[in-house]
Amino acid sequence: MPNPLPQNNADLLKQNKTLILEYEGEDDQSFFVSCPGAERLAVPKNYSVPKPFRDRPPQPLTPAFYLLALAFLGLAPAGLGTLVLAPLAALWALVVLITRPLTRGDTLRVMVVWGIAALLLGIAIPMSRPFLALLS
Amino acid sequence: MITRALYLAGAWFTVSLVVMLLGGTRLRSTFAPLSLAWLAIVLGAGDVWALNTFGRPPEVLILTGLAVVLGLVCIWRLHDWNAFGQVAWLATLIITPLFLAYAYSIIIAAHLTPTAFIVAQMFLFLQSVASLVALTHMFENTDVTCRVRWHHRLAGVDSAPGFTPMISLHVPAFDEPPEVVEGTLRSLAALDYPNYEVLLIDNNTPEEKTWRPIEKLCQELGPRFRFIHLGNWPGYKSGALNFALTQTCLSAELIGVVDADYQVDPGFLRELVPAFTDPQLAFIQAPQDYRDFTPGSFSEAMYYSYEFFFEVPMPVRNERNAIIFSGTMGLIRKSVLQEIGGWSEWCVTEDAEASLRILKRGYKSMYFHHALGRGLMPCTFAGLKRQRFRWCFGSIQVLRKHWEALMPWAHWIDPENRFTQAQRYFYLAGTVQWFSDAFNFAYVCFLVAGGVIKLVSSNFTFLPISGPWISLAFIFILLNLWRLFWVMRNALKLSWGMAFRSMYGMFSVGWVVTLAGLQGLIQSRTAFLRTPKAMGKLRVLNALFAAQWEAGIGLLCLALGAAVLALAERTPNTYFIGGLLLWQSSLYLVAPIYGVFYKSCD
Repeated sequence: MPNPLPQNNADLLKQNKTLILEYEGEDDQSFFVSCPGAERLAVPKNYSVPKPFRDRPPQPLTPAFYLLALAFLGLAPAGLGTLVLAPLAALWALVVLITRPLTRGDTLRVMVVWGIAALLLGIAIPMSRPFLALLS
Repeated sequence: MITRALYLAGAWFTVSLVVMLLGGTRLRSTFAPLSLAWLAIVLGAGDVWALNTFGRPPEVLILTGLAVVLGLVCIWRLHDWNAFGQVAWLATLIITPLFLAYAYSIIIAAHLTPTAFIVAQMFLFLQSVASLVALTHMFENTDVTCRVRWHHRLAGVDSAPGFTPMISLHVPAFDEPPEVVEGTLRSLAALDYPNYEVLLIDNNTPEEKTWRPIEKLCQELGPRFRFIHLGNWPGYKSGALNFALTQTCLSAELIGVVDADYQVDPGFLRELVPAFTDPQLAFIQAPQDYRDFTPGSFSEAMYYSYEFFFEVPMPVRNERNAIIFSGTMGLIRKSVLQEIGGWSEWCVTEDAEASLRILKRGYKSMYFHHALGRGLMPCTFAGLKRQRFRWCFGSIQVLRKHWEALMPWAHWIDPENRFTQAQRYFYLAGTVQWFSDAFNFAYVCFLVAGGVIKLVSSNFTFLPISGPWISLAFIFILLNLWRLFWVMRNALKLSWGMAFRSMYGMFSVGWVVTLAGLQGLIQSRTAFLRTPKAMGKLRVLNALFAAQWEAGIGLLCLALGAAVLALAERTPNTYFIGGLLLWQSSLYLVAPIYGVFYKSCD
């Protein structure tokens, strides 16, 4: 990261009618820019720090929600995929509940995972019965 | 029993939808006794027909009883709709699950092999999800055409004398033709408003000769105008807009975003600013409009397919404070934009994403239903496809990031989430609707497989299709097409011919939306595909190249459909699959046709 000059240099930018700047880098607080005939400048960002999108640590229940999404798609082949994946999602949530200290939000998520898994199973079981009868 | 229930619901659906299509926009009053009377007439007519056709009074009575209860709920909840809209929506709500249940029952009863059973169930699953999406479309279309009272419709804001907050207008530009930007800047210079600045942010334009004339023009236009050239700048349009925030006049209270190709009306700010006397209002959006189509041309048809969004979903969403900020021709409160952390640079539709974060905090939005500026449509069909790709991909990026905030349990987990149910629904439905084209493509895959099987082996049952199934499917398709025509004709005031061409204009970009939808599911980021506003060389060849996949799929459907009709055993199933393949071919072959004839700017 370039060594920025004091902020008041950046304020000088606002007095110029034309700015020609080159991007050098940025952090949560400032953009770092260079312009012809001047040193590198730090331009304070004029907004609150946004939460990063990609860098967020994985939430403990994210895999359970992925499994639920797949369990929903598992309804397509006569509910067979759901029969496997929905219990797995519920089990994952149970393991997380038992093994990790959870926030209130995550505890509620566990309940949500169980609720949706039960709902999907409630649809999948009657859907799959004719197929299983066909096999037998 | 399920077949008879389906026939009865089909009768209600047909009567109510036909009457809605004939008179839904003419009946401009809402009156509960009238709604009840119309409900009784539709249900009664269907019941009389059903009793005379297949008898079974107890069954008719039970289904009618359910319909009455649901009908009363519809009339109560949708009290701003006229009677025709309420009853048609009720009939749609009844027939959709019945149709799916019927389809399931014939799969069960058909004694299929295990493989065919699984394939048939997959088809049914696809149909179920597609039906849910179709219901969301039906709701929007009915709301916009049969709504009699609009509580938030706005075509003018009461003026607020003396209220003239400082506004900073941000005009991002990347490699824009100087003559296009000149028109934009001159229109901004002529704004009828006393207190504003214009920041032209040119990011990453490679040729100095492109941006130097714009810099010079900014100097000529006076002290309100500033020119900022950013080199090697990340974050595409959002990155440029975020830097513009750092250079915004400290006293500015509102930020306006205007695309570099928009020529705004002098009253743009004067009309919109008074709305901000409401301190809860975070942003106001005027429709995007375009100025460069030739009347009667393919570009006019495409123009109306653009306008559809601002005439149908946006007014509907505005009634529930659930609109999106669409990135140009809108004003946003600076403090709110700062509070949410500026524009998101990971998202290619940063405008819609920002509006979601704003509404999640409980702020208000407003749609101003009157165009106050006009831009340029993409010059070529390839440009049109790139733009549509970006919109669809961006929507799915937003869903992937914010899906949990839209779920029914979101408020339990995050008490600061202040979305209303309606806002959650419209943000979710608005994204899921992008998958309509992907569902259609999956449907085509099933049809192609069915067509091949028809040609190869007449004994193998791929999908059990009965007479009622076929007839109802055709009724659905015809009535839904008629409904789309009808909505376009009435919401956009089009002739039948132009409505037809605009509808096919929407279909022509279906393949790129399919690709964007699928890519959006597996990939979290993509490059911001800028929409070119200048014509390249070899336009026709490029257009054909751009539509090669659509042409391939369309020709495959055409050839297979013709072969099935000519060669396969003459059964209703054959006509059904062959007919649908031919129809689907038209949805794909329209892309190269529009590609060749579409041209919006010289």
